[in-house]
Amino acid sequence: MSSLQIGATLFASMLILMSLRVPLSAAMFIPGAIGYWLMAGENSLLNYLKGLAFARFSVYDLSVIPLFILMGQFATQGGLSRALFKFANSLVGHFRGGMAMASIYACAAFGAVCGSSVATAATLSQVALPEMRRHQYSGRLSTATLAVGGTLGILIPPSVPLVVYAILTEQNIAKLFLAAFVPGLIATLGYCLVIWLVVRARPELAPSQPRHSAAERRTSFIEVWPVAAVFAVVFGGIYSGMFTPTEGAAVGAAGTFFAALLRKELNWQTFGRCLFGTAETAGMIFLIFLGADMLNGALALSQMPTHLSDWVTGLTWPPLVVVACIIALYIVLGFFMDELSAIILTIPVVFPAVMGLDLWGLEYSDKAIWFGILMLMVMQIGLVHPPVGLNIYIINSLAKDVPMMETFKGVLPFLASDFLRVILLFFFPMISLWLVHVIS
Amino acid sequence: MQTSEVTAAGSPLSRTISTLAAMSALFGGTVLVGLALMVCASVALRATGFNPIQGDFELLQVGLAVSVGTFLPWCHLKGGNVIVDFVTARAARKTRRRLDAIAGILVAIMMALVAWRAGAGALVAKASGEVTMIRGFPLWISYLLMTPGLALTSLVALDVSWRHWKEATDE
Repeated sequence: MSSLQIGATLFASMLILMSLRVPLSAAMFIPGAIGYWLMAGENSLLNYLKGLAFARFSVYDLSVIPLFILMGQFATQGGLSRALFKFANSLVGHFRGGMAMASIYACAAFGAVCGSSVATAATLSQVALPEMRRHQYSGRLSTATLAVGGTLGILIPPSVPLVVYAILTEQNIAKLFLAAFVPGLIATLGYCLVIWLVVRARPELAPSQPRHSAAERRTSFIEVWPVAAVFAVVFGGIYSGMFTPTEGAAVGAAGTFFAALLRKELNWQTFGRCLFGTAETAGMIFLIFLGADMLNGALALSQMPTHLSDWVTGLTWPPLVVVACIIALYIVLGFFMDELSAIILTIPVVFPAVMGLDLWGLEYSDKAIWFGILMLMVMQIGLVHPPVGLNIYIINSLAKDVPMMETFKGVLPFLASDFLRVILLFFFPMISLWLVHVIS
Repeated sequence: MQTSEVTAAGSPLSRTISTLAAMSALFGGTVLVGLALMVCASVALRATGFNPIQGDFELLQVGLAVSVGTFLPWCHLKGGNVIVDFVTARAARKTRRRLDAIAGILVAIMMALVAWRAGAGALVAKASGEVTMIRGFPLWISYLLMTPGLALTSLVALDVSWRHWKEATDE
């Protein structure tokens, strides 16, 4: 069999197992292990496996993942989302659709101390959903706003998927975080613009409410300072070179821990919930890594990635068309599987091929950052588009009175802004890169 | 993407396995919090002009391998081991549970293999006397500490698989 045939067989076996409800980790691991065994023999496979778990679980850079997850868990249990929503609502709540906009701003601010979109969507929904419903906001607008708002958890740094990308491609985490800032802000403003347009067309979706007094604003402002302080310390520390991103994540975890303590939200029960939540999310990512490492070990043995990369660089298509096709492929892949898994699995194959292309005349590291931000956007879209969109399921489980179809319909105008943003970032790499260039 | 958390009540053995998984996750979580505080202390010492904790990043590396290993049983138990519910979404509940049961056995095989090899890795590391660079911490210990979590995940997978099967036959 040729290397491409072997690679295709491995992928096909994975897809078959996956569609039969085998967890992704095992659906990748088992074809990988069998393929490795057939190609290199039993002893090599057993040897490869010996270091597999330890090599993956003890990488210094990867320790940033459980630490950022822990930080987000403390922020979630610490009731920081409530403080943020209250403050944002006191500022913009009186505009038509203002409460939905306040939810978006609160999500963005929460995203600055939390690297997970599911956590952001879930925690803000618990706070903002009852408020919006109480003020007669339509179910569709409320749930859709929170579903897309949740994705700001990964668009605004820290961002767990971005860390995963940085590790897989050996890029600088701090630089990728910087690059995500401006696109994250564009996303926030884009969502607010969508809300504004939607409620202008259909005012009945969001009745207006009275303006908040200056005193209310002041008191609610006092409660949000822990979020601002943690964010400033973590990112100030990382960018002033005082500490590495991993150390920043540890400081952030400790910071949100103490903030939760100060707000008197932390008892043994909520503390335990934070640990369990961290175990579940971190476990999920590391299980996927375990499976993807095995499959990628087998793929590397078949030399399929090298051949594929040669083939891509040998294409006579314009390089930008190739990248556009890759992005489109990921979006289609997102109809079948979760994007983070797709990226962990395919980046080792796709990344070298993309880096071999001449894109906007960018240098290697700029190209890697630009492509990373595009990958992040693709993952973000996957969280809210039908049929799999994880965020929609999360919100749906919290808002039982709004049918899931309604939420999907409500998300559509927001998706339009997402696609526009991807196109913008694709054609103007400087949007992602300028902050990186200014700071470093 | 969907999770498939098992709902059927388990036997006393199931309950024991679940308790072990929960304890394992709490232990790993506590280690992680400890590591975070250790790193903070080290950063604070360095920022104030003192010597940082020696080999802090090594401790983090070694401790993290242990803590991530202990997370996996809980993750699988809670259905955090993601599956794709695209093709089978319209299949009968019974069929889905049966498939979940079979899939669980595959996960059990995978984790047993990984646990066994990590254990073997520990023996090799012990024989070769590999230690970390600064503190000279023997690596075989962290290989070894990682193994129970991996092995327990395999047990959890078997138990969850059996409960899925029971759910399908009971209906």
